Amino acid sequence: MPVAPLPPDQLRRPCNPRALDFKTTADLDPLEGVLGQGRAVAAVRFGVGMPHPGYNIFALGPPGTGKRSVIRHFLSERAQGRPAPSDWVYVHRFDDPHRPQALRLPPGKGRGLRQDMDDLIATLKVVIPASFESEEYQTRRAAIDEEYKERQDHAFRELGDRAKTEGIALLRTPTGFAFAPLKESGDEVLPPDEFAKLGDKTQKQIEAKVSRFHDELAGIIRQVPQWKREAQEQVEALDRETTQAAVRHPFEDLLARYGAQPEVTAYLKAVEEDLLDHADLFKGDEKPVSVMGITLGRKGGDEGLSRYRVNLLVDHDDEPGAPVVEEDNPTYANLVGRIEHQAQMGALLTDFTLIKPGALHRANGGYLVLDARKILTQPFAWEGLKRALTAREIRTESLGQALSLISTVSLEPEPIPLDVKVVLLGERFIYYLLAELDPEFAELFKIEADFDERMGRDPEDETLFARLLAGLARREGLRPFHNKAVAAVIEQAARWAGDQDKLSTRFGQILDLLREADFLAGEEGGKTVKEGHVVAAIQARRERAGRIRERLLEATENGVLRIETDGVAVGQINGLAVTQLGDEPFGHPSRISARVWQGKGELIDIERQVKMGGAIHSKGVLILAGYLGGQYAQRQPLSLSASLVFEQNYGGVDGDSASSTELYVLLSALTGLALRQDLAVTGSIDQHGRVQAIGGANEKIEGFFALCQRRGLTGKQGVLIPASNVRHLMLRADVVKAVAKGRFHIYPIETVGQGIELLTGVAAGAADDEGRYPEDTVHGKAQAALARFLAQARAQSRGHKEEGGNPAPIVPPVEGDDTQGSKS
Amino acid sequence: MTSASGASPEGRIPGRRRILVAFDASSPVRGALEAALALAGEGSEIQGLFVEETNLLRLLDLPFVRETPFGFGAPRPLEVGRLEREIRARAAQARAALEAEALQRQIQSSFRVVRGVLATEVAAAAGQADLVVLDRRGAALGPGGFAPTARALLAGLNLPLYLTSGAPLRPPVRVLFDGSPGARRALSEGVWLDARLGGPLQVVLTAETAEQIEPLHRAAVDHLAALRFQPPVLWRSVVGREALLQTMAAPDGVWILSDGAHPPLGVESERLVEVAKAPLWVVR
Repeated sequence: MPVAPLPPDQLRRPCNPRALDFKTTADLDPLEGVLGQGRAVAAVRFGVGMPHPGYNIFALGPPGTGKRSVIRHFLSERAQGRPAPSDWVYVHRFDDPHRPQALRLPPGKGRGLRQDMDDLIATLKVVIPASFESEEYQTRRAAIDEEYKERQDHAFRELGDRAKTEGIALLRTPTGFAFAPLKESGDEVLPPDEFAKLGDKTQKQIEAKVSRFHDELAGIIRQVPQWKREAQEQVEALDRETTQAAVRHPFEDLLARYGAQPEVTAYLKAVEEDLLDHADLFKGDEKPVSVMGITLGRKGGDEGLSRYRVNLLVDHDDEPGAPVVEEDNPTYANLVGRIEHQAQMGALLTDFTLIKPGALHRANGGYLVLDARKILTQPFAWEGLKRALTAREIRTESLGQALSLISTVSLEPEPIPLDVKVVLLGERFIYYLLAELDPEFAELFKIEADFDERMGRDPEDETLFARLLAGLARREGLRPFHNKAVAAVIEQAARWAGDQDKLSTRFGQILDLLREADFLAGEEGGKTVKEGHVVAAIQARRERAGRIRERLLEATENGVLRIETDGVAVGQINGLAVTQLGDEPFGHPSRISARVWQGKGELIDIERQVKMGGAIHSKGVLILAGYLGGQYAQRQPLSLSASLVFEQNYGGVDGDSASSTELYVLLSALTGLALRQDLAVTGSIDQHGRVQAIGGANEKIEGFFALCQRRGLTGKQGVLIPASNVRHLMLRADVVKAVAKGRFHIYPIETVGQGIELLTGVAAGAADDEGRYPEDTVHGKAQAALARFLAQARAQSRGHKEEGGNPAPIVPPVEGDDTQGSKS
Repeated sequence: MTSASGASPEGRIPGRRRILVAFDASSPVRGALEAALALAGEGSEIQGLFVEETNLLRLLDLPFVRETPFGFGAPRPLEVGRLEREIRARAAQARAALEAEALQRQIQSSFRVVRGVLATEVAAAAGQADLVVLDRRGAALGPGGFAPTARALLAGLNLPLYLTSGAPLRPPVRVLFDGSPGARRALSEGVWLDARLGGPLQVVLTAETAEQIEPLHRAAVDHLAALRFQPPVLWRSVVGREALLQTMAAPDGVWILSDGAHPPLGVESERLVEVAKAPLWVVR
């Protein structure tokens, strides 16, 4: 029995507007959230709720399936129920300035501490100078200086007085001290001539005295540095005491305010202690240092005071719940933070106030959403994220430090403990690649939230879908959609799903269609969106993406690309291919040809030979060879060689959807039976000759239909598809209409036999008990042809042995050797 | 005591007209020079006098004399050439510093070097000067404290004398007031100096008994009123000799007092000058 074409009602499953119980979407209770993602939603809900480390989420699925919306919804819902996390600040570590200290504060308190420290500095800038300018301080300071001076003076004076009692004067020279004998008056140095008149003994006595006094003087001078040191220590002690008195009250207030935070109070005490030794910073009397007219800064002033400031890294003031952070540019630095530098005189300087937070800081205590592809394409960002999640701390360091590329002294901020739930969004292949290639991935991302691109399509689903469309339209401010328009959208969603019983869940794409239909309705001044607007929007999308499709059609129509749509031919058949460029895939016919000759069973896939065929296509060809061997070479060797090629294909080919087509054309070439050129074929086969489902059935059918329609439908044209693909048919209305009028036909094929019978008009044939097929069947003719090849081969083998080994000439098939392009 | 406040005089306060500033090789140049500059003003003339002290030069001819340097070091021979070079260098420093400051402030100046005894040479050079300034740290005989040179100047020089100890001239201005004519002159100079430095002026009333303080206060107030000048005044009273000597030991500000004996206490000005730590101005 020849295969019957499909009736029109199997070519497209319409959505019945009457089953949609509303006039327009304005009448519907809009559905918010997501639809058809039960598995993913359950995974997200579980992952978001799991408090243990490693239960981070990878939301995988095609773009537009609502991953981000679902994640946002659940994260924001969960985040609202959680407390706001701690604020974090970095402060100067006084005992190790290269390792800034991280302080944790209750949410909202970080800003307060920063303000308090700024206020403290402002207060101390007034209070400390005032204390040091006070009369009390000045008096005590002057007393110390005076004591030091007095100590020196007293020592010198006492020495001078004693010397004077012994008739020796102590004199200051420009650079030191000297002793000289005095006149008896005691006010004048003894002139040299008078000294000369003194007796030797007296002179010796004077000389001895002078020598002794020099020794004593040296002793005093040796003590002067020690006295100076002691005076300096007294000044320092006085300064500390003065500073301590000045800062006591402000610090008492602060310590009382932060008494509940031991870390902060410890820090404040360290500040107070440091202040005692650095009161000069507040006096503002340090002059700027200049080199060649360029000011380099100064020890005093705000530069020096920055050590007491607070770098508010994370501020959760006014935030009601846990943070949900989406980082659109997940570079390494944007994740773990950065240490910025300021250029000064050609040098790059930094301090703890230049530590900037990353997304991990902002999301700490909450949730961080990242695009998987982006983080994987940013240098070291993925490694940085994993390191932070594994160590459960954020270590802010430059890439140079992290990779030990630089050894210059820089900051090493104290790591901040990390408690964050990371959600990665990405396509499936990224998830599977990471799962396979990154051993840490499974430990860190235990939750797989797989977003399906399709959902069911029972009446209840259609109703929910309609409500979802209503919600989308309302949220986007679109016009209400008429129920027929909704039905058209649902049918298009089924078409995008590639299944009569499924609907696409790529709501990004669906929303685009709604917007475009709404725009067209607006152009016409309509208040609602009608079916025509949706159909026009679909058509417009197709037209916008149709340049290449149209060029292919033109080239085929004018004979540049040779495709027959009428008549018969031997060794030539119309295959079907799908091209995916952008969002609008389209199908087009492709001429496949075969040649056979006597040989040893080689099947030459020319695409494969020239490396234009993919692995799956090659697999299909090898399956085909398996079929031939099983079918015809059970009792004798397969004594043919054959070649297969996609004619005029210059862009490569992959997939096994043409394997049945290639078998048909090979059988045609072998048997000499002509194939119908008004039919196009798609479908893969197994080694037993069963035809199997392929992808893109709708596009392929529509591609051949378009060409036939352009040339004029004959009423005989049609497409052979696998019977298992019938459920996937959601053909365009014009194709369905042509089928309904008997102008075009779709044949569901289950076996190679059914297909070859349809294509040749000759029965495929059934083998008898000995494996022989009737002569007037396709298989019988194939068997006969192979037998001829075998006989020729054996004859040649014998002749070869007798004549010395020259190979026999290749003998073409008996029938149909002039068939390329011929019509019967 | 009460304090009074009043209006400050209008306009700029003129400086002393002719100021003689004396240096020798043993005193720092800056101390005396800065004091002279602080007391000078538009139209003033600063006369620099550098005295090569004979006593120092005599050392060179003594056979055994050595010098111990300021920093730690063993005594070394006092060489003729080196000492003379150092004295000349110190004189050159003083000249350069004076000329540079005078040029910058547009003050007339002159400078000369003489050889002799400091007190004698200053007395000889003072001439028509309004004020003599010198650094008490560099008195020729005896390092530190009040030296015979200064004592000789106080005794023999009939001119106002400003003795600095290196501290800058800054408030408060303290006037020692015992009701004597010299004390009134000191009060007048105190008003003048207070106007230049900024107040409040401190008037220290000194007497043997507490009962004598009130009349002194009235006398000082009357004198200030006669000057038609009422700066803010901080009044202090010191009763008794020991209290006065203790008060004079205050290290800050500047003291103004008259020379000669202070009858109520019987304390010589020389003694007060000796105990004073701060710069002081002795009026005549």
